[in-house]
Amino acid sequence: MNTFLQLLISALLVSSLYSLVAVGFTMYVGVINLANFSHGDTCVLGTFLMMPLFLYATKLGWISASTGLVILILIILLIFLTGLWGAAIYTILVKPLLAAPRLILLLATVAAGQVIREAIRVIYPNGSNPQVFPKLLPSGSLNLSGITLGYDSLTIIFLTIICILSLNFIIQKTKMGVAMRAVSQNADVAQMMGINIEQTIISVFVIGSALAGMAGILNGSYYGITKFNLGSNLGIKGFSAAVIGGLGDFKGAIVGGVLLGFIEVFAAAYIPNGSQYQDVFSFLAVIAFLIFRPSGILGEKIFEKV
Amino acid sequence: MSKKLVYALLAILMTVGLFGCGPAKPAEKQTVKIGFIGPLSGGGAAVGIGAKNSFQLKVDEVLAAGDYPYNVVVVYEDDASDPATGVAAATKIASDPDVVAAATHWNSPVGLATVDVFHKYGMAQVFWGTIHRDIIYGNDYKEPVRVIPTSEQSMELAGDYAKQFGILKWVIINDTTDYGTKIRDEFTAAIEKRGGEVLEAIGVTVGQQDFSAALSRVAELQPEGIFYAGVTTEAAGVRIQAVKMGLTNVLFMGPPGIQSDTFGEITGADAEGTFCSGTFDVNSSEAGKAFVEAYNAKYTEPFEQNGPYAYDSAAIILEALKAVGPDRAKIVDYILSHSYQGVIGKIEWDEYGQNYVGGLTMYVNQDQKWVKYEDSEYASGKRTLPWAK
Repeated sequence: MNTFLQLLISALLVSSLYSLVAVGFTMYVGVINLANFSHGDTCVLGTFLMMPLFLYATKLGWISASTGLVILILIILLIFLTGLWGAAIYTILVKPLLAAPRLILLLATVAAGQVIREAIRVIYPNGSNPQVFPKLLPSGSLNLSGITLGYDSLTIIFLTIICILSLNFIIQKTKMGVAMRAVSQNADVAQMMGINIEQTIISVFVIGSALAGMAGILNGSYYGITKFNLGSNLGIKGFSAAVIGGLGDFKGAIVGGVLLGFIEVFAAAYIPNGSQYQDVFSFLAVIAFLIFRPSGILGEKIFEKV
Repeated sequence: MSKKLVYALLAILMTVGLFGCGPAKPAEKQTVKIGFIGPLSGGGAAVGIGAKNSFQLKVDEVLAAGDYPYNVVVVYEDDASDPATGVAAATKIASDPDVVAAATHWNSPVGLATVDVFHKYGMAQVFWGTIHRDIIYGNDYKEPVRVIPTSEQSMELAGDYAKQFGILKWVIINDTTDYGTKIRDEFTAAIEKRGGEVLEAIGVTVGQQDFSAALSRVAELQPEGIFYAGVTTEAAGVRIQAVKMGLTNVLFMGPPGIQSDTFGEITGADAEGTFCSGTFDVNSSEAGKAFVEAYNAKYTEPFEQNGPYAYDSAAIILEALKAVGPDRAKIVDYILSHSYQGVIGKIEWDEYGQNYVGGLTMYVNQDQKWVKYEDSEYASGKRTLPWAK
């Protein structure tokens, strides 16, 4: 029973990270019908931006003074920087290609991911090697009758919930969110109703990239490591979670992330020799969904009239 | 032509002749070539360049002494960690009649591919790297010898320490590469030979981040030790997550693949008291320290793990060349029939040409650094190992 509960906590942690990546991924699909394949690399960009910030703060002696507050400020700064990166990606890459077929734009995002990876290798000192990521989250753990609850795991789950609730609030309750939903349903009509399409799409890129940055640093903090090419795997997992949940559906991305995390952890634990096939199980799940329920768990079926 | 001019020319010629007729020059030393092959480009370049520099350092030191009977030139070839490139490089070196012996390779697949080439040409091949057993034991050639110990020897050492600590119930977590599975099998054999038991071996993949499922199984099995058969990054991940899951009262050990300062950097305080059955500790002897000093005075690139082995490989080839002259067959016989005192300690071949004496060290992580266990505060009793009974 203890093992099961311990696995449950691990699954919740993995699910949180996947959901956070998937939610950002699904925003692009939902609003501008674009699978942004540089999303995973933006997560990694977040970690490589955070490391020098943290180092600088440490050199100034801020980290030892009031660690919690300084880390919070650093995280906010990082969210701002990755958001800025999102705006830059939109301006440089997406805007000129917005009228082009979506496949071209999709390829452009693949290239953007490659640019991030290679830039890290070239610019960051010793960038091809794994980097030690600073421990931003509280260390230590609670021991509840044999079950270990790490404070860092709890913080990640808590922060993921906060991020998702905030995003839900933005989408449902703010003017910007209404604009996003309108553009996602029909961009032409939305424009006729006076919605600034460009501003709406920029906000999608800013929020999506900021979420990616957040997911990246949470992932790095928990595992203690980051690497220039970690984004490919993270991005594919986020994409898979979004597919399972229903591409473009906000709640679906969360459900997909949770399901993917649970499949990975429990299949690896309960299927003999499962640990080495952890990724295989998650991608098998994706294939199964693509065959039997391509619209995902919460996605709506689309009937096309002939 | 006037007479004056003839006399002047005669005087000039006589002067030149007079100065030119000095004592006879000493006979020029014969130039002999020796070869070096390693990964000088690609992912293994850092190790290859460290070994190349170390090899050249020994050659320079020997020649600088002045009494070496030959002028030695080293021919460097790049194997790029690729078997096909390695075979081309080996053929180029072995087919050059002026080259008498070579020190070769870091990657086992390259060594497995070139061992036949050197045998065909009857040239001594001294391995400063590679761990695969079959390079030495998979044939009956007398050309290849290996200075660096095998992973099997390293796992024997791990088994010895496990027995010494009384930790005989193990779970192995191995990566699914050839390296990981080979280490897994060799560690299992070493433990079973000493009356211990490997309760389970759990495979993980290189690049995997989350090991919670594997570690939950470990927690269920309640072993006394966890052995991670793989390399640094994943080993650090396993260690961090094991501590997070409360698996602190078990011995954590790994193979030479985790012998990197990065392990301590990633794991931080969690690295404390973990073990690594690793390669030679260069700072453990005066000769080793002298090597480090001489190397650092000449090169900026680190000599990496294999530098001392390459340095000793050069010493072995040069000693054989000095003793028997530039004759490939005689050099092969000389190398195999002698033992050596190198910076890694005594080098003595078994009947197949594998060094079985020096070059291994058990390390414990102390303050995020790998420290030779015998020199550590854990061995002296100043600190207590986290898993100590």
